[in-house]
Amino acid sequence: MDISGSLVTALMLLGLGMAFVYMFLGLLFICINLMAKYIPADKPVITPQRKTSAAPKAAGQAQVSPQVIAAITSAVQQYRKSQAV
Amino acid sequence: MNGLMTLWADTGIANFEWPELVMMAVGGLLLYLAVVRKFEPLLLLPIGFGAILANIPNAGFNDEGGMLYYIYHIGIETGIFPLIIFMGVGALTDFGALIANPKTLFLGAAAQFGIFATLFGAILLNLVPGFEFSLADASAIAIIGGADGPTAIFLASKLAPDLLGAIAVAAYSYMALVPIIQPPIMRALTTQAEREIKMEQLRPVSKKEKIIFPLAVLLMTILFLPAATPLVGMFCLGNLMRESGVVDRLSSTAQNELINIVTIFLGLGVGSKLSADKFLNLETLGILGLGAIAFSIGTASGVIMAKIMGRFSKSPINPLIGAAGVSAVPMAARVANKVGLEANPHNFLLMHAMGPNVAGVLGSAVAAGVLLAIVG
Repeated sequence: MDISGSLVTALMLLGLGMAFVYMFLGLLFICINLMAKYIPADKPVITPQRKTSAAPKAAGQAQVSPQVIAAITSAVQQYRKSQAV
Repeated sequence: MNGLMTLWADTGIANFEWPELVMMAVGGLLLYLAVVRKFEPLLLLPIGFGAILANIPNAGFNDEGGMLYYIYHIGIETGIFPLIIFMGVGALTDFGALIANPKTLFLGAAAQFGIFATLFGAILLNLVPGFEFSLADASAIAIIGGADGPTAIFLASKLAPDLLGAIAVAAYSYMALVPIIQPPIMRALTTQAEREIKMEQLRPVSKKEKIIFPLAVLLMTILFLPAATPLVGMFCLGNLMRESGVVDRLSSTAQNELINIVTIFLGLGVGSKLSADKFLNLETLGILGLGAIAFSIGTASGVIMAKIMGRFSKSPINPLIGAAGVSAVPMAARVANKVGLEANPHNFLLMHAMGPNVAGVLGSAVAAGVLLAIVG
């Protein structure tokens, strides 16, 4: 085949090849978007851990705080009294 | 005395001819690049050693009955070795980044422009006396721009077996040279502000999506491009073994032992094609030159496509990740990350660049399928 004929074939290959690669990957793009839309996400594994780690904190705060607050308040009052005298 | 003469006639020294010596030196150069410069050592070392073995006078490695003859005949002529390697690459590939940001598929597609543009270069070289590339030869050379070793070897073994040695050496050399070839092109085509662009964090990808993805790719290849199914099919098999999580042993074998064993034989088989009569000619120089052009055009078109997409996209796109569209996994993605870090030390692009990077692998397999379907 002469060179000009080959160049025309190469031009055809360029157009056809790039169009096909884009079409193929474009369809894959649509596929992936559909997958993202219809396939539910994995359930996060960390959630139960968070709950357990968060629970004792709250419980701890609720248990400790009245006593501690009472102790601190009485200590502050005693200190103020002693300072006033 | 007669025995001594016979023995002398059988020595290497008495039988050396200069083309063989030159080819052994080429083998030595490849060994140097692999051992000292650490350029793609996994492949260049067996290729270099294979080149030395293939050119030993009177050893008959390449003659019918010789070891390299059979390795080439069984594994490369049939296309089996590159396909097994491709299965291993599939088992090593995580498509998470691509599934999370599917727009990057278009960057992987754009970078394949280097392949098709190089066809012109190969055909135009026929104007220079000494070059005689057919369209099949030109296609096999152009696939170097896909920067994917197994694909290049597979296509060359089908379209231009005589040029396979030079094409494989060029493909792997340029893949090793990605950190040198790409950054100047990337910097030339982007501004400092563009290189500093930060991209949004990728969404987490579910296991189901990762399992369905290789099956979807396979289905599309079956429907639209069966010529690419050997490459894409093996790639998807490897990836499914990885993502399904039920055949960890097979997945581990595909990405470790099997790929390693086949790499040794693939390297030796390619090395066996580095014989003086096939390698020491003007065409090899042409192939090396065209390979560099293909690679550069692929890089540039990936970056330009990323710039265009960045204009129209709601979420910001750093154009550097476009350069990773030329497969060469994961080197090209690392280069994009490195150039991005130079512009902004807090900008990590690696995961974003892995999207176009693996899209490039699919893109070059599809491009190879198109060339095989039309030219083959």
